[in-house]
Amino acid sequence: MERGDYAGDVRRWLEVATKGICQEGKERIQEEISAHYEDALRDALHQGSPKIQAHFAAMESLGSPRKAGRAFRRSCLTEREAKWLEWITGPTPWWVFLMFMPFLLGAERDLAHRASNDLTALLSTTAFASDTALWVFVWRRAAPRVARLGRFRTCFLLRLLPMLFLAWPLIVIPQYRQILSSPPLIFACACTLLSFTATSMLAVRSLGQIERKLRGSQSARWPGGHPE
Amino acid sequence: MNLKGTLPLLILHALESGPKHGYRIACDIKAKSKGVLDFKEGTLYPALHEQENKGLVESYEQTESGRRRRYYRLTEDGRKVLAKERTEWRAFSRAVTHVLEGA
Repeated sequence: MERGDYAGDVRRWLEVATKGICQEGKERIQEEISAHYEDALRDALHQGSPKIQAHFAAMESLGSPRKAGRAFRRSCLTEREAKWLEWITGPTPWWVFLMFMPFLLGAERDLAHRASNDLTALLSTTAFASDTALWVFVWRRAAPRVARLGRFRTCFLLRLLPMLFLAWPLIVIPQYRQILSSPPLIFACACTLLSFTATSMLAVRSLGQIERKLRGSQSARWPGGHPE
Repeated sequence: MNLKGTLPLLILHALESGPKHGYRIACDIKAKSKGVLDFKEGTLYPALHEQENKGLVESYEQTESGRRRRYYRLTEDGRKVLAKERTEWRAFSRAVTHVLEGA
């Protein structure tokens, strides 16, 4: 290490520790750690340590940047989570189209071919109507991002759970299983459904984590004003 | 000594006496434990953010001699959790002491 390249050491520590953290989180960590380093350096200098020794002591007090980075990624929004958040709560709700498409196609097919039974048509229409209501509820109403995210998670669960409850009996209950014509098809459906269930559960968990982190970062304003 | 898991409780305790910034919290813990509990700051701040995510502390940014500092303070929920965890810790600590002294 070059003598006098103290700022460079802190910068390198921060680069490693904040890797993968979203910009807002990075700025906050950089401010806190830099202020902390300066305080530690100043205290060590006050105690009579030479500058290089004070610098090493302050750097030592920061600990391992990799370990800190892992902990920061658990407590702050990561870049990927920030992208998800933007995608979900941003001005262009792409997820709405994804949610609508299967039901739009289903409703269109049923209308075009005069559904073989009325129940199919009713299900498609109900799903389309409920999705429209969810879209209005989640996206159209102005609300803080954290509230929108919470609503999205609720809607996601409301959409997901019936799908899973309706799909699994097809594979598990023998009389329904007959609808799927061959064992390879049953196996393929089971694998698809299993991976879909696992992915969905992970998505719900991730949404919960993002919501918790977002709630934390948005609490960073004291309603009562300045600290005493 | 394995200190994992005690940091959130110590943070809440350090903030009980009033708002503090991260460095002051670290110094308080170190001084009160006579240097035994010396957490690396790289773990202190994620723990502080985690407590904030849980709604147990809240933070505020203030400019102090030209430098922005983030102060933390306990929320009402934080006070309740601190009281509960302090009671649990005392019971736990007494139990371990009984076991060690009885051995």
